[in-house]
Amino acid sequence: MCEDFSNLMQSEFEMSMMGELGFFLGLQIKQHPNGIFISQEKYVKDILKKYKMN
Amino acid sequence: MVTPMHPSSSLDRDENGKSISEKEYRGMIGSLLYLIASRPDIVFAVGLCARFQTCAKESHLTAVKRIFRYLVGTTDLGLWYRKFSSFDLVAYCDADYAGDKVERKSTSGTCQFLGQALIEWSCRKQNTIALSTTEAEYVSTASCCSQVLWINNQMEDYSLRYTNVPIMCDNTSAINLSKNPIQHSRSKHIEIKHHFIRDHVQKKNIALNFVDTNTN
Repeated sequence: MCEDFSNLMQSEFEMSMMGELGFFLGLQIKQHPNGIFISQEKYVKDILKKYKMN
Repeated sequence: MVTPMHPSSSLDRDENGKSISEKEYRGMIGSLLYLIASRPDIVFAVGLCARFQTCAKESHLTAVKRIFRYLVGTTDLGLWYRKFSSFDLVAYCDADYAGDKVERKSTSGTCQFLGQALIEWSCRKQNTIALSTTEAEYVSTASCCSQVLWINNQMEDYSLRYTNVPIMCDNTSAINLSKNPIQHSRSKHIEIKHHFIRDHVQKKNIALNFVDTNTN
């Protein structure tokens, strides 16, 4: 079903399939078989480094 | 650090405190505000520190640094959206009483769940000054109600319609106030805009339910 949808979108619009979503607007998205986990782990580590709190 | 803020700490303007770099303070607050997108646990602490962005003092910076130290041990927290979770809409609300030491205003906290999935949360200093804990809770219920009505509208796009959406509140007086439209001396000063919750209870858009304070 996903493949059909991806092909349909690509034929209708100028866009390409970039694989599974992992990052979106700085949010990390992990897709598990039984759910989706959204975190900002990398962002937290970045700001901790920025303010020298690690 | 187990918590983002010391439980008994109460920040005030600290006018005699040592001034610190406003630019750095604002930068830290800005970075933390973006983190709120996936971390409802620090919303209150960040919101409180953000109130002192003008004339930030050393005591405020200490509070912000405590939030960062809390983050060091909890970098991997996030939101978990389970597959096959139901679509039951439930809202929770609570309020502190005169928690703000500067203006003596109360703070509302609300959150909304779809089944087990947390979809929305907020923590906001109230616009009006509450004269009783009941009034503070009532005002938070009203803001929770307006969020629920908005979610209701959004969910209609997916052909999901809700009636009697339960709003969980741990204050029985506030619940009674929503059911009984009689004005008495302790509640007649509450602004009309907060009484719109009564209207929606009567229209069966929402239902105010009691929840124990420990589970709220």
